[in-house]
Amino acid sequence: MTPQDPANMTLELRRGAIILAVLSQLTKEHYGYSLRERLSARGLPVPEGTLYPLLRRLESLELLTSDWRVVAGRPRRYYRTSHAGKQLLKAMETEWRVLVEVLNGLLEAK
Amino acid sequence: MDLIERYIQDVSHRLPRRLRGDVEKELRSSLEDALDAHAANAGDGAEAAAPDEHVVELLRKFGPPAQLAASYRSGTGFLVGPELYPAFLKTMKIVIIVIVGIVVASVVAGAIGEDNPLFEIAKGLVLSNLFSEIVEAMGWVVLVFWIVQLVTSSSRVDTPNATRATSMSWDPHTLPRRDDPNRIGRTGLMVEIAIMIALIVLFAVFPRAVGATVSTNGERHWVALMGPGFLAGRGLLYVGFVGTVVLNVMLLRHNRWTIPTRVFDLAISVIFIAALLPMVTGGNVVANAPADLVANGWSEEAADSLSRDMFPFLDKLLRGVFACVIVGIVWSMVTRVVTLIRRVT
Repeated sequence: MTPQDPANMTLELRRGAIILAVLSQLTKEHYGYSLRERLSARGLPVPEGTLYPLLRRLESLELLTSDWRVVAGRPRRYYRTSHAGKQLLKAMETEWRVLVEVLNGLLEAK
Repeated sequence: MDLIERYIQDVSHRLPRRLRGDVEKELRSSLEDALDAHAANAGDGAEAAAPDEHVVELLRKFGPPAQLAASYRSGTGFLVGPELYPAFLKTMKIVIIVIVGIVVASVVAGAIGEDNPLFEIAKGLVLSNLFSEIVEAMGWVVLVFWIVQLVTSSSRVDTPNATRATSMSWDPHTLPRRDDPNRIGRTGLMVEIAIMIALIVLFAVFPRAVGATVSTNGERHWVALMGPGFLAGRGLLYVGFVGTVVLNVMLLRHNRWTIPTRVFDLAISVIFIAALLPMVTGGNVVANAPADLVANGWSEEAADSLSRDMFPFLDKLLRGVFACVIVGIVWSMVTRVVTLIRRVT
């Protein structure tokens, strides 16, 4: 299986969208499982093995902040979009809207 | 829950140490959340699979440990990936232990002096550039693992379709069983107590019982192997034997290793080294005073012959054995110190 595989291309497209989705939903804080449930409920199920490492990567890029809290006897790591994350979110959102509009036009004109 | 802990430990084992604690904690919390949600759904009347089946299904969704660990590390760049990381670590440990062994051998060689055959062996090891060759070998280990990493990268885990296929075919029941590192073996401890008590009795009450029947010049008599050098170091050996008995009784009482018992165990090893070192470096280990031999029934000629020909050889042999035992103890101490540091951190 290579990155040029057609199925992988679809997933590559999805991967960028997941980052945008995560940054947008974490303007309100969530822990990993609650975020996954929220994304799933809104039609974007993200595999567990993708979401948790992604959260950590975004945090290491300082796009998210996190802190551990014990809730109902269970330690949970709560994430929130950082200031840098919000700036990136704004830029990505603008780009996304332009892309959607352009691509819709292209796809309709095919 | 055993499967979940095995999964978390397997993932963690493939990650750099600095990531482990945090990833373990978050993974455990997330898996428990998912299981709780499943239990709540089952309570609402939803058709639920058996708990073990659900755990298997859940772990499959998270993906094989190597794959998940790779996701945590992707983007950071690595010479050796998570699939090969445990094997790489094991290989490097062996190389490092060999280096430590050679350093210890050279120290022992320095201590025992040039008239000892061990000095020649140790000098040979050190002077033959083995030390630098082994350091170089560490570099080769990295290179080989890096090449294997490159060669196997066509099946890299970050290709999503391959990932999905691997997840579905992966069976969580194949997760390695991680033995509790603090668990004790009760039978082994009890056998060790019996051996220690037997040695105390043997050395204290029957010191001449350790020996062999020797034939020379047509005479055949018993020769005790515990000479003045051995008997002088006996006191510390007793401390070591008694310490081992006390430690084993403590372990049997608490039923597991703790940090204090691990420290105590290391202290006992130091005592054994302190007891054996004078035997390697000091006076005669084997009983070889001709007068003693004559007193035990040997003729003067035979006593002279034994003292001249056989005892020096036996002496060197026993010193060599003791030196090997010391190296073995130091080797085992290194691994136990590593375990102790892991328990503390």
